[in-house]
Amino acid sequence: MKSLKWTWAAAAAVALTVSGCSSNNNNEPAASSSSSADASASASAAQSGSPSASAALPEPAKLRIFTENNTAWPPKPDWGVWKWVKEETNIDVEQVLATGPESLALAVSSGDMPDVLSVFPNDVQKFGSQGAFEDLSKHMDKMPNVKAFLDSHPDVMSRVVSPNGEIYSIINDGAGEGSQMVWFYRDDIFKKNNLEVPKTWDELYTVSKKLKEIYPDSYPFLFRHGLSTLDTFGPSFDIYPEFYQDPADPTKMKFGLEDPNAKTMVEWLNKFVKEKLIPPDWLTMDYKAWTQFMSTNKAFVTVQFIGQIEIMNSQLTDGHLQFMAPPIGAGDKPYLPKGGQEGYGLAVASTSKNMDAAFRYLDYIFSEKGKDIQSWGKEGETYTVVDGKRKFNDNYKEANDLRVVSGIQTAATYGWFDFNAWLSLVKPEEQYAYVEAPKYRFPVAYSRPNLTADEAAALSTSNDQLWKFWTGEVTKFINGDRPLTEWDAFIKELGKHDLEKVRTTYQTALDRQLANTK
Amino acid sequence: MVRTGKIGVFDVVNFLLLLFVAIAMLFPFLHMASVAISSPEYVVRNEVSFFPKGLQFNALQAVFEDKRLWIGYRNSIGYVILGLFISMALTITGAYALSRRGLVFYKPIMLYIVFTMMFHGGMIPFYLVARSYGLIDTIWAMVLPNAIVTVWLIIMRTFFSGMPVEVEESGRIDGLSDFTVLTHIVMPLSKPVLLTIGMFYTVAIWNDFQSALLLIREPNLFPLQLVIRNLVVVGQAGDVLEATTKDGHKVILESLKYGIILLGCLPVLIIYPFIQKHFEQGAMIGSVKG
Amino acid sequence: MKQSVFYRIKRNKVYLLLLLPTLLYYLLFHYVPMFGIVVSFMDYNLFKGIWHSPWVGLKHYRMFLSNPDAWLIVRNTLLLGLYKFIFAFPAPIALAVLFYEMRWKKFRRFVQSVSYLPYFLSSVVLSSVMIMLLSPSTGWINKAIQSLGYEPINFLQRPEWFRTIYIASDIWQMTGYGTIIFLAALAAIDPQLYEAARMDGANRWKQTVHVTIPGIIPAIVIMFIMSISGIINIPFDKAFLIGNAGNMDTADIITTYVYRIGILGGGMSYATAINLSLGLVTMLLVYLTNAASRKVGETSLW
Repeated sequence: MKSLKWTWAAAAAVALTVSGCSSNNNNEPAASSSSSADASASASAAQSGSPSASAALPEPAKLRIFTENNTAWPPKPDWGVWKWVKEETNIDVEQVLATGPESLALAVSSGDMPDVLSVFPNDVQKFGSQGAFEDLSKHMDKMPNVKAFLDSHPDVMSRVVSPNGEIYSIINDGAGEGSQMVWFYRDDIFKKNNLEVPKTWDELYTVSKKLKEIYPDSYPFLFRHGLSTLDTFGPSFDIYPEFYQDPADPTKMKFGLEDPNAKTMVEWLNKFVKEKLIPPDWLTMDYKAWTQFMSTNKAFVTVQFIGQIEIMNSQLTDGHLQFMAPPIGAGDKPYLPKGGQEGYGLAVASTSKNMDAAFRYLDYIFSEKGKDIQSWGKEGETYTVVDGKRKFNDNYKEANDLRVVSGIQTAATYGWFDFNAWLSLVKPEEQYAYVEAPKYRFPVAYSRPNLTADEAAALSTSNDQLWKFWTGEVTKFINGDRPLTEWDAFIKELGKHDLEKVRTTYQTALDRQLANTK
Repeated sequence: MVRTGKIGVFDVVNFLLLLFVAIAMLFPFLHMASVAISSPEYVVRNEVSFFPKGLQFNALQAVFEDKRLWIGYRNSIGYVILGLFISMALTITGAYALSRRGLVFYKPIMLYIVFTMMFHGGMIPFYLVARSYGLIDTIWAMVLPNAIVTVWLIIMRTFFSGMPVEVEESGRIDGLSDFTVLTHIVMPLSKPVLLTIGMFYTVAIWNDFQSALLLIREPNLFPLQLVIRNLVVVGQAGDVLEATTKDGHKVILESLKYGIILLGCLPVLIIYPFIQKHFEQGAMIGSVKG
Repeated sequence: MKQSVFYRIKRNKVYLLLLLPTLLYYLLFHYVPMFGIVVSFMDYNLFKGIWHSPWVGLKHYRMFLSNPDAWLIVRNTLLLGLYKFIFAFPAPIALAVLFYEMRWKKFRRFVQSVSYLPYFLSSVVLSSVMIMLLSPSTGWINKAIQSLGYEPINFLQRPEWFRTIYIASDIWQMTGYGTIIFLAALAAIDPQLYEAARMDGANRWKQTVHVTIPGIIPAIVIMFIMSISGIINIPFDKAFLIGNAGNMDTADIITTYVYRIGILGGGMSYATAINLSLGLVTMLLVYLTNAASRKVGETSLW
């Protein structure tokens, strides 16, 4: 049926001459067109320079890899990262992009999944328990490098292995530093108006009020991840919103919203919304809207990924952003979430027909050599060695160009990242944030113990229900649609939405995990 | 109407009410088109309502340059052509057979068809079945599952059975067979109903969103509706903006999104005057049940 | 004289042959999925398939009934349908009467043409336009509200606005088209009735109340009955497209819930159980309304 696809349509729709309907047919990664001429020349030199390597290459194979579709670095089939994969493993990669919010779920439901998928832990829990992903623990003999990687990274190991020993995904490592959420602010605006950097939420409020007076059409405090931003606000109130291991009693799972500090946090946000210090559409703010606010002097304090400081600074022609310590909302220490870990990993579809190639791919990207090549590219092609130090070519002007030009440090293109590659392109003055951020890490990570397949299946609707309930209610509290006097009632209502069932399940999982590590 | 009389308060009020209706119906279209072709400074200040201000076509140009929209167009046109053919073939042959007097098993067959209007398995069983037929990510996903709309099948059957027996019999005398009576007599005499129902199928296939959302994942097969949804509702229009701001044109997201929507409903707006007569007839036929 | 079945089949063989693709279509796309409801009685696993998934009886039905969301979703669905019925049903009747009474024919023709147009827009285009017009920061409606000195309203994030927006947009889209059937009924009113009314000294308003409206009562009754099943059968598209985390409290209806839980969440058995429960209620409703319309209007769908 599929072969029929578009032959007829092409004939039927001649009136609309459309180019590029054949991206499927030419995914042969040609020499990177975006890199400069000398780079491609050296690419061929590099290839001819290592004939022995190409002779030892395994059978050619094709893989479809599910990756994100990020508008800030639109994926290209001719990215260097895919070319290097081809050179090293003889695998042709076809990127399957997440085209909408439901892409991964639809891919799983359809049963026709790409061979390798970049997935988040909650996806793994949901779909892994259904049997969508291959249990990688059974195939470690084919992936010696993955095994070595996991053995040398016990923290990653503990996050990926399920209580029954299955491994449905390998979580990436190394680039977590770049995906931390941090606070930053317009230091030029603050200086100009003689404002102090807020150290507490109280001061944040006062300074936002002042900024609003000076710039009436602004929304001084801006964030763009909707309610997920609570994950970042939480630690400055000594909590995370949902379940995590209680730092005060590490044998207990804690549901953050039950902590009185959660109410304080929501009260603050409610106040900010009420007085228009946060835009009214904060819940649905997307990246583009966020950029527009930031670049047009309409917002001055924000919470975003650390890398965005530099990206925005290169767009701000007359202004400057700087990292700031998280304001204290409760407790006595300023905290950011415990970052430095990567959020997503790679899974292999249980329905894949190219499983051996998928294992070969994973084994490559988690090898030392793969780490080096997928982080730095190849000498002569992307970087040169000057005085024993690697220096990226001039066409990479800022760190984000690594993604845009070559796809370096984008989803599914690496397993184990050498963050020095990224840092080498971060301007010295921007490195400040990377040095400062780790000082504010919350004692525990925002993660839950792994569940068995049965537990996960039993919780799938409960989790959804609980999440839907609390996000809906908290939104109402923040927007002022439900008075905060009803907060205690809300906490009680959580019980009706399976809070205890979810808590018990995770508590059991935590107990088991603690028993195993003893 | 043949009533006469002076123009009174009644007529004035009526006129004003209908004027309001006309404005309310047209406003979204006018506003959409105006924002799409106005220059950003006026749009930002909300000075664009019914008519464009500071005419410029940067936003539309940016929309035209987006390949996804054209892929959507190509696909939707393809789905309509193929789907219309399948739907009409099934509906005409089915309705013709059902309209024959004394058709054997007529009652059980009608019950078999009509029961599906009362009960259906729902989204998940439908999805699982479509998946097991291998429809996912194929053009067939867009043309087979909704190939027959039962109400239209019944309307056509009613129309066919209303045809005078004499006409058909004269055809028989001329040596026409069971099948050629359909092609030589029934169909030529049923042009209005065929046109009307064909038009309804066309609109239904063109506007179909749910089938695509469920069954199409391959961007090269996305119909226009899914493309528009991803660009406007999900907000991927931002990347078009990224591409154009690099050229130095100033385009704002609002104009861009309206431009996308406008282009999405353009075919309907263009064809509308020509089909108007037919759908009025169609709605009438629909109301006269057998 | 009664012919044998075989003889009749033989005589009708061309017709039956022509009918075959249609019957096959109904079998493949309507009847086979009906048997798919068995998955609601098992813990269906996509990767094990229907033959290897365990039977669990009524587990998923019990789960739905004990779920606090269930009530909310059923309520959302019914209320949306009911309000839609109450507000959207009379609109085309009123507009048809206005058209009918309009004496300036060219103007009437123009307004009619314009009012039919929205009917042909897709749910995606309609929802997109709504999202644009209602945006709190850039939408025309909110800017108008602001220029009048009021606060912008975040329409699409507020649960209390969802039904209003949904139904208002339905009225906008469907009313014009809905007049066609009533206009036909109006055209059939005997002009002599107006003549007689005028003799009795009835003014235009009274003529409308005493002649025009009673003249289309049969059509109203039929349409009334036919739209009852719409109370529970709410299309998926628009609710899905304009629904979001903010307005979920009212926007989450059965079809969107089924999509989210079943297709996106992988809980296919549970979602099917919900769907089937709904399907049975719909069936009952359709059957009853059809029986009623058979009685009242001497017309029916079949």
